[in-house]
Amino acid sequence: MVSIPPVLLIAFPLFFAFLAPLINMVSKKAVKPYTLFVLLLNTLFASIIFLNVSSGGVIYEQLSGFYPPIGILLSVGYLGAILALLINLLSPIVYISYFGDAKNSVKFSMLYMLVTASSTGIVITGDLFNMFVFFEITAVGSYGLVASMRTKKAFEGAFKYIVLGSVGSAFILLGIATIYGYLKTLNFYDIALRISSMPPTARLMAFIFLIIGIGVEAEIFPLNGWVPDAYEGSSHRVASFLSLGPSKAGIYAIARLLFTLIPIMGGFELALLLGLLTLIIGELAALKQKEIKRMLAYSSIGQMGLILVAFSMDSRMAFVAAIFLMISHAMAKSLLFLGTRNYTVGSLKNPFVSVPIFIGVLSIIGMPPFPGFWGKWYLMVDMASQGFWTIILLVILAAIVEAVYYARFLFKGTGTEKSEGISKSEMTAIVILALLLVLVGLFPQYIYAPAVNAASSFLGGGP
Amino acid sequence: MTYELLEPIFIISTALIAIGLYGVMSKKNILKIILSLGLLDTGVNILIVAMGYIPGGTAPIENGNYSLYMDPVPQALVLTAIVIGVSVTALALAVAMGYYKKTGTIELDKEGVMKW
Amino acid sequence: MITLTIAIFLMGVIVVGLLNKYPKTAGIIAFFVSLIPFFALLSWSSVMNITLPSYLQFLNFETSWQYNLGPGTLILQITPLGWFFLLLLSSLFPMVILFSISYFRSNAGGFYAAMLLTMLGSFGILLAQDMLTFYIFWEIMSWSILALVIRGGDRKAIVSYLSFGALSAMLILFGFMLLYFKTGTFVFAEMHLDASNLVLAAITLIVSGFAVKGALMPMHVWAPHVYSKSEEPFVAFLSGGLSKLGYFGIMLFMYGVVGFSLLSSWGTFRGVPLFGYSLAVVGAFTAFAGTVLAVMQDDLRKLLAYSSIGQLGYIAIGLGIGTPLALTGALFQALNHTFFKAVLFLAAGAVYYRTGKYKISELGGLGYKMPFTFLASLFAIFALAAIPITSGFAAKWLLYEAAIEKKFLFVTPIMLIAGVGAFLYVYKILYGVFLGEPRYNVKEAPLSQLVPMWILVLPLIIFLIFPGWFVDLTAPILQGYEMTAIPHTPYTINTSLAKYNTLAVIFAFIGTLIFAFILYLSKPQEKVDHMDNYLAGEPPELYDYISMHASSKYYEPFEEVFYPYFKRGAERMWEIILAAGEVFGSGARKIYTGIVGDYSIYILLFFLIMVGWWLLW
Repeated sequence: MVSIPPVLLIAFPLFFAFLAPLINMVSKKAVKPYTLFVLLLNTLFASIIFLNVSSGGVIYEQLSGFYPPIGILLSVGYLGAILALLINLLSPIVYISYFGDAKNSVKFSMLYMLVTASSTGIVITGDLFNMFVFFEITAVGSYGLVASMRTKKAFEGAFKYIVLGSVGSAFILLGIATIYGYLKTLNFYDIALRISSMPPTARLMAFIFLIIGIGVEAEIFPLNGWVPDAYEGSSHRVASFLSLGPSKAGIYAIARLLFTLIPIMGGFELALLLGLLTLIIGELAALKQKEIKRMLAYSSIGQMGLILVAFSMDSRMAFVAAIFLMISHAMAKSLLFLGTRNYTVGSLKNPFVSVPIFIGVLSIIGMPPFPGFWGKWYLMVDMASQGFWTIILLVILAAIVEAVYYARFLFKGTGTEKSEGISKSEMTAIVILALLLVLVGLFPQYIYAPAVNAASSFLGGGP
Repeated sequence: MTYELLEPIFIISTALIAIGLYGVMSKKNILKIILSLGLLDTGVNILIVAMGYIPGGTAPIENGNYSLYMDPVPQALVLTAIVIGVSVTALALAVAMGYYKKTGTIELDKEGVMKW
Repeated sequence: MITLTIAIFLMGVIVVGLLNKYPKTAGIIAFFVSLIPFFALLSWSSVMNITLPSYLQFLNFETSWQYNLGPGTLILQITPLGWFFLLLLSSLFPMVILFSISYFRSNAGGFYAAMLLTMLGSFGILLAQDMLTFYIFWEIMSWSILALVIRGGDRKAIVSYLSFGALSAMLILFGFMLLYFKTGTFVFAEMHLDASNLVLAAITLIVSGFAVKGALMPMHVWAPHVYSKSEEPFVAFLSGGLSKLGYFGIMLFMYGVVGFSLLSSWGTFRGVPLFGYSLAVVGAFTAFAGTVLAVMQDDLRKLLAYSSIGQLGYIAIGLGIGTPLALTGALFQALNHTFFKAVLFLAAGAVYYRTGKYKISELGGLGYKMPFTFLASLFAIFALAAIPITSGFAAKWLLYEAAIEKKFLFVTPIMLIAGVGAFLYVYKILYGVFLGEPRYNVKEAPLSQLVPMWILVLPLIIFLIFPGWFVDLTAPILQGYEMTAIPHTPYTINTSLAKYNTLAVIFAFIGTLIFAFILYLSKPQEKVDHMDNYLAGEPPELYDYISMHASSKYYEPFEEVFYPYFKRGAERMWEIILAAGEVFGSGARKIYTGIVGDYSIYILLFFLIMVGWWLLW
């Protein structure tokens, strides 16, 4: 099989992102096909790397000629490969929706490629500082994307995102400083190997700093103030993209931190607490929300909480559940954001809009046979076999609340006469996303096997 | 470890971080918030640079005499962090300008903010 | 063959969905697809000890089927109970589709697609042999109903259906998880349960989850909204067919998985498990309240909806009592309700198709214009009110007997009152819709609507004459629960209290009829106008057409008595719960103040809490 250096996943769109203005000078019309082409090539690379990893195990690649731990290391693990594929598969699809639009195309396309590259970077990097840099690129790109609507709400949302993102990045830096101060290394494997030689206090401080910093990006409860405002302020396409790329990368980083990087006493209990808080507050806040994008943003928060709960179970089944939930959330939530236009739900009178939106809602509320169901089912089965009834009860209550507000969401779609405002390109995008949801839902076995591998690589033990 | 020598630096950086955080938390003016973010960043950067400090060491540049030199990694980190900080600040200022153009104010405590 | 069936169904869903512009073609394709479950049923008839001639079994379906999903295995297998309920659904379903071919004039592709999905889901539910399979197909069925409800476009219907659907799903899921925790397996046959409280909690949760679909009070709130605001053929299938799945689930888990003896170990009441007794009480209450509420309705569909709720309550009574007699009665009632309620809803659909009206006070005299529709609904009404010219009487008879046999002093009278109450509202349908002065000059419903109605009436008559055949059907089911079928011959059913004899019943009925007819002839007849009301000297100009109509405020005194007690009904209770949730919701929303400083304070607070937690710990 062809093998491809993972660095291409990052370098390729990054390079071509900066080439985009040149293309723009040649022909303004060429920018969008060009961007789509670059993103699709990246999808191809990601799928090849995914296949390589699932057949041959973790891929390591050192950059810039230095050997680790000094040089920067890329390491594509099982989970990283799944998420890299997910991000790079979905980002061109969401980009398709942009074709009907005439405005600010080159800057948007550049930022889009940039964020795709850097979110991919977060999931395949093997170096803490490298991860920080990718976080920052993702964040800066996302700030720009949020502000790209150039309305009052867009600027306001972007500003809130910038402030919290910067505070978060300061905390990540503090965490990195703490770790480096004691271990003199930033390589993930090195840190994981020698973390026990760090004094417990310092280890805990590093953990706290990092979880705060990453938690801002991963939309964890007390740190996620920016989420509703930024999603409400940004255009529906940007919101769609944000919910598939950066947030998934953030939650991946949290998982990495919890499982391999700094395993501290009580870390999983803390994650569980945070996850439940995030889940419940997100779902409850969405319950009375009239503004549709804001409602979907709260729902995103709730979903991220659920994913964190799944990770915090610290067991293989729940880990697989978390992967399914991530896939479901990335696909379904970007579908729903695309389907909502700016302030209303796309009309359900048009079957090419209504059926995808319906499938998206079903996947989010966990109906079979869609990925969200497999996620919730595995999570429940895992929690049931361990007898965590209180948590199951909370998750179930959250699911009911979710159903109530999604019912209202679906009702809003029945009102308008035509599918006004949803362009052909957006329709294409949501139809493809819905097809993906159906495929993953009907054939979970093809995700299950790599997901089990990912779980084993994080939790130890054979597959 | 000779962190005792660095105590003043710790105090300074902690103070900067605290001031920055305080500014972000209490100010409603966009520019003041951006300034506070800058302070916060600077505080963190100073802390990291200080960590790489080795008493009596030289700059980590290959000049034939590198028996004792500063740890280069924190410096590299800080350089990157500064670059990122600058770009974020620039972006924040651009957003502030846009906000000002749309609303005619750079205060964020108006009734009109998105909430709930 | 089952793989092929599922594939054909899924392909059918896509094809008819794409044929949205051609409703007739889509309907015909859907009709052919919808026949497959019936053929499967015929080919599986051996599980019921029925030998059919081979030309009826031309499709050969395997009796068990497995599909490996990687993370889990789907297991389907035909069982007597599944066969019985499949008989109800698979014979109702093609008729409903046939009806809709002429009912829909446009935009029907989505309807057929969702209907096929509901049937696929039901097919899987009835055959499922483990909890994963059951849950998957249950939810497929559940959300395809949601798709059909969305087509109706009514806010209350959508919100209440999805909320209660989720509540039901989560109750069932929670129960399944408890059973899994207890037994470590999902497969029904491998479960070894004991008399622990955990199992009791699980079965309670599961049964209350199914009660939502079965519209038992207080979980019925969604039903009137959905029944009255959706398309009629779908409502016929929902009320007639799909609501039975709730009772299928209750029966499967109460008697198939847990079993009668284990249920008894949590306490008994007059030889009936306490669990079953509470179900019977809930059922009796549902039967009573559903009937009373049905009497108060003016919208034909709402009336039928509450009547459905009431009639389904009887099934719950039977399942609760749990003796062979009661179970036979419950299954009989399920069968009758499937057919008569489907006929009534289809007739309502036909009436709407011709007149465009649902309000009883705006209708009248249609019996003269649509005689065949009228006669079909008349039979259905006989079955509903348990008048002994249809099998409805036999079912209620068995149920009453089962309750009397166990000396249920609370349940039995309520059942009887509800049974009489049914007369009140069916009379309203008869008088308000079909009898009286003709008010619309409409044609009879099209043939493709009449044929399904009349086919659906047939079982009601067949099982009147041969109630024993029905008892034969229940024998393998009861055998599975280590019970024996009640003694019977084709025309008679022998029970401990009394003997049910078809001939006696029919003769008694005909005798009464002749007597009534003589009474009718002995008095001079006078035709009375619908509007010929007693006005006590007030000028008729003050009243509009509707308030003058005889069936408007027909049962006003009755409503005056009962309305105060039903004013604060279950709907109010759920609204309060939702409002409480929304209070929490507003609280949670207030966290996001929109001020960036506050958000930073949260971050700092979180940091301080973490540090403080570490310092303390």
